[in-house]
Amino acid sequence: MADLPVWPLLLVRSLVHLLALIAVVFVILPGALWPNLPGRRLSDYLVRAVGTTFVLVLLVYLLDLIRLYEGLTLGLLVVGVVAVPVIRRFRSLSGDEAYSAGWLDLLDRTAAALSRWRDGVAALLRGGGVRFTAAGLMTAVLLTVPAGVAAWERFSQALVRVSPAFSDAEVTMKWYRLLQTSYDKVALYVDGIYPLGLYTVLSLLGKLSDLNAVLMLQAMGPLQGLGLVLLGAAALYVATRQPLAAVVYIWLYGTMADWVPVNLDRHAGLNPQEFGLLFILPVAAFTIGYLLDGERKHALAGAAALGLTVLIHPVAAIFAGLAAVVPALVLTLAQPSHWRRLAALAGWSVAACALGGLPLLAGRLAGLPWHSASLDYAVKRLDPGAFPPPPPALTALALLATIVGLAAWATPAVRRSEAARYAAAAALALGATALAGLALTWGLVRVLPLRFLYDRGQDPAAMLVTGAAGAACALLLLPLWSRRGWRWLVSGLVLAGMAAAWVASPPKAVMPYRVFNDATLYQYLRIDAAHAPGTWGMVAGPDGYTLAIGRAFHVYPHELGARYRIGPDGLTDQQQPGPPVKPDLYFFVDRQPPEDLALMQERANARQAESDRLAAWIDQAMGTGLPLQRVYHDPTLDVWELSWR
Amino acid sequence: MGPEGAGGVAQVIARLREMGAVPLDAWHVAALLEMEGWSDEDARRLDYPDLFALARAAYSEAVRAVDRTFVPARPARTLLRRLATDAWRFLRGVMFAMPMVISGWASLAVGLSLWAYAGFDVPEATGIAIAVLASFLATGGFTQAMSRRGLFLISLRQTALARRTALQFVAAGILWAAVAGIGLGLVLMLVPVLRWETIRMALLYYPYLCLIWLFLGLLYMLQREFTFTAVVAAGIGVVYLLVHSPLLAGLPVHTAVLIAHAVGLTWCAAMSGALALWFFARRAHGEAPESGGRRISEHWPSVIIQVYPFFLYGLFYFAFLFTDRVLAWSVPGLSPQALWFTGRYESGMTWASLALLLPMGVVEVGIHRFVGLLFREQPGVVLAARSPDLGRRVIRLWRRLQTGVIAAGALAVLLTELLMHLLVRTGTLYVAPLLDPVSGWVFGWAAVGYVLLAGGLLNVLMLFITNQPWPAVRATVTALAVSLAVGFVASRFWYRCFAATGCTPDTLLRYPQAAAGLVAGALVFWWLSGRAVRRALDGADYLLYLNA
Repeated sequence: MADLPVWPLLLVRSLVHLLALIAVVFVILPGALWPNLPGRRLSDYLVRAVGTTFVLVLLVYLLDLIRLYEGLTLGLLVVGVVAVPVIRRFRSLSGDEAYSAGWLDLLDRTAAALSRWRDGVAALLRGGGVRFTAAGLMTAVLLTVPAGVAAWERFSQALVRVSPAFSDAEVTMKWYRLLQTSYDKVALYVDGIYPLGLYTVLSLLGKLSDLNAVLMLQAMGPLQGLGLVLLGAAALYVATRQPLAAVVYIWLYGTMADWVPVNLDRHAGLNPQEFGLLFILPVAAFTIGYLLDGERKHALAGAAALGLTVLIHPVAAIFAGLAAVVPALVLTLAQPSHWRRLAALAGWSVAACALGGLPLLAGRLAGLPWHSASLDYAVKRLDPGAFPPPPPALTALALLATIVGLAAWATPAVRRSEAARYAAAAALALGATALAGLALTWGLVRVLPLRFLYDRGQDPAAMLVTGAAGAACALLLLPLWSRRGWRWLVSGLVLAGMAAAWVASPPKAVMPYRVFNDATLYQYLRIDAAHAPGTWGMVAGPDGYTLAIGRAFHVYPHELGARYRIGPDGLTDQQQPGPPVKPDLYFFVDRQPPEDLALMQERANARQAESDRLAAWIDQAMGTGLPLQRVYHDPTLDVWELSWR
Repeated sequence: MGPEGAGGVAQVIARLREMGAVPLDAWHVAALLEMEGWSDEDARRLDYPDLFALARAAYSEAVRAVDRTFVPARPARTLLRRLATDAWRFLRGVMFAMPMVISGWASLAVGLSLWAYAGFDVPEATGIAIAVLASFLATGGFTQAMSRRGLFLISLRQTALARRTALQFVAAGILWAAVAGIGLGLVLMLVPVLRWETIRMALLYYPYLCLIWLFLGLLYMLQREFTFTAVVAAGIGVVYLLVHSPLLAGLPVHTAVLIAHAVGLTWCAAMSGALALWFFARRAHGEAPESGGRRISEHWPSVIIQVYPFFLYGLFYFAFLFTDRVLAWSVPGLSPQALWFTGRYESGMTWASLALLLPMGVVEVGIHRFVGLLFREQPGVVLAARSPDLGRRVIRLWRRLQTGVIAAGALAVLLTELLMHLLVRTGTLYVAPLLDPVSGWVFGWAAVGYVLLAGGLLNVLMLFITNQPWPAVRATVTALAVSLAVGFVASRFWYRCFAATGCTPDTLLRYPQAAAGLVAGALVFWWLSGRAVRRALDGADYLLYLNA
């Protein structure tokens, strides 16, 4: 059997692969897909990436619905989208000479692009193409130090454990793998209606990378957690145009889980709510941007980000709605002459939300039920009387940010300053949004005691508060930051402040619970790497079913004998007539369930019963002379191989 | 060097005919004479006051006696001789398609060809198929552009320059193929939809195949159809002999085949290059040294502007040729990876390639007739503005030729069917299209597609001869798009209709429907290129004047 690299290396390899793919799909490809949205500012990249993600999610829904969700369709669509402007341009020309001129024009553009690329490479060889300044380096240090700490907190668990975090991992694997491998049947809403935004993106990345689901979850989970920090910081920078705002946000939201109610455990796993939260601060940033500069692309991107959250998760959609509505109202009140922008933004946002809700509506119209577990959770109520007040520190931070923003905005000199105007507007708008978020999570629950609002609302509320705090800090420190000599002092103070906070409240690497056994998953990865998909089978309990989707046959131990007959001539499915098949079969016998499964006793018992049944079957089969061979053994797991070759 | 002696006008006309120039007016004659080094002094020696007077007199004489001076007389040939000439041309046309047929047939008959081996497993065969496709895409544009430019220079009797230019095209092709190969490797690493065995074989065969197409392209440019067919056949022979020779006897068969393929392909490329150089040298023998012994070089920006339509045509043409195969290989659910070569599909295509042989013979004969007609008519049109119903006559010829191509295609399909039945009855060969529904279906579609393709190629050649590459490029691009769209729908949706009616017991029958894309694309290629030819030939006199 193929030797896999040891676990951390395997994860790092997958991570590099995935990052390269994400760069292509969400950074490079959007440049080609949106030729009418050029630009090299961070906000331009964000606009294109958000637009592309929105389109891709809807596209996956559509392609799966018409049963054409395959790599070739995607490739053809990309080629088509890139080719259409070229063809349209040529069609606008008439006659062979003009046609020829069109091609020459294309050649010219290609030559110009090559020349730019060559200049870029030459600049890179000369010294990076970037002018290194002391101030720039200082900013880079301020950004990377807390980002590094945040990354360590989220990634370290994945480096030592093969098993993805949380019981939701099973559902995530199942839904996205079914989507990824569906080609002639519809794999939407297999367990009932639920927004499939995360699963569509995962299926797309899975289709392009062919990464095993275990590796995908372990790489994407912490990456998404870090994305909450970095994408939020990028959005904050776009909104305020101040790197210091991003620094404060990364430090506070990314590393100070003891101070703000960030659900860090969930940042290590891969869950749709957190995927949806990625777009909350971008919604706010684009809304602020549009109301200040009136650039239509910001309105469209804000609406697309909002629509995306509808496609991904209801909690994210609620908070994204807040992040759109509150800044829009506040900034319209602050500059009433621009009320038309509010109307336009509202129009686009409603349209995007309608598009985002369309797949859910289609599911209902098709007569499908809602996903029952989610529905149960959505209507679950909190115990009466268990309503603590909002954390005072958070409330104070949000209030302060609003006041600072308001005071700055009320100062004509600030409004006239290009540098301060955005930071003031962002502090004011985000402060007000954070207050609304706190009211929603800790206030609304007194009227409408829904558990999910209280449990799940804390993280996005913290995100809004820390974002507002970042904007306010940047605004307050702007007079010093903008002076070269003082920037050093500010930087030093911020670094010292962060370090002191970490000493007072040391960052902790998270370790969420797992329902899989690490050894089982690593052995499964080894076997999978040694076989082509569909050429091997897995006899294992319920967790085996999820792992086998799209990679192998799966047989439950209780089906041995009842449905499947295994003999010297091969494996026969007694429900489907046909000759016996001879895949390499692997039997996974759990000797000891994962420790964390003790939390779910019923599930652990069912799993153990299947394992006992399998162990008994193997004993019996050995007696009949089947060439079973034990290929792995440890205190938690036995793996047996049966090959007819 | 100026003229000496009397008979000035006749001397001028004789010189112009030697130069192959049909004068457009008296100024053109003067310019041509000046290029030849004539001066007023030479004109005065011939009793004309200056060179312009001489040019005017020569032009008047040329117009007055156009039939005697410029229109070439029809060679008086017997019917037998004409038939023999046509037969020879027909055979040359057949030879044009022969390398593809020989390769396919060698795989069927002895399980070995220059790059194929029946013992390779499917992932390996897929790798080689991808290498073939990628190598054609990487080099197709270069071979087309090279042959266009090379033929043009050869027609100007600039053989040394033609050789140098062709070799520069080959060098550029190698460089581009290397860049494209590295790009392909990076994409396959980023999007690993293929297994390592497949990628390894693709990367192993790709450079060899690129080299062989580029060097065979030299022979194609020199119109050495028999030679390149012989080179390919000999290459297959080299591979066969090596695999069965004691030299590689100690090695596992798989390794021996890989080595034999590497040697065979290298041998073919080297032999093509060497033969091409020899043909160049032979052709250059007796030509005047270029520009007084000075090596001249192409002005590449101008060359690129002139040949890039041909480059695009080559690129899109090869993409079109392989579209249906890629669609068939990629039908999901059939394989454990994104592309999966299927021998059953390929077998149908190999048998269908026989349907291309006879039509290609007709194409070659037809092109010569077409050129002959234009060659005879051009001086009359240019000098005497004489074009009595020329357009109608040329279109009539084109219609006859198209009918001939389609009839030859139908005959070829019929003969292929007969051959298949004969082979099955005598038990000589396993004939897949008769015994296997997948191959049979593919053979049916592809045979029709190839006949239409031959008709389209006749049109494209006519367009190239009249110097109109753009309609050909447009026809090819449209054919590619149609082939993709129809093949995609046919291979992904169509089978569902069958399955819904319960007509097909074998859902695997979905992938051969991709060949419907080839038929649709070829039909569009044939129709669009034909329409362009009709439009162009309607104004044949104008075209002849333009190209004079």
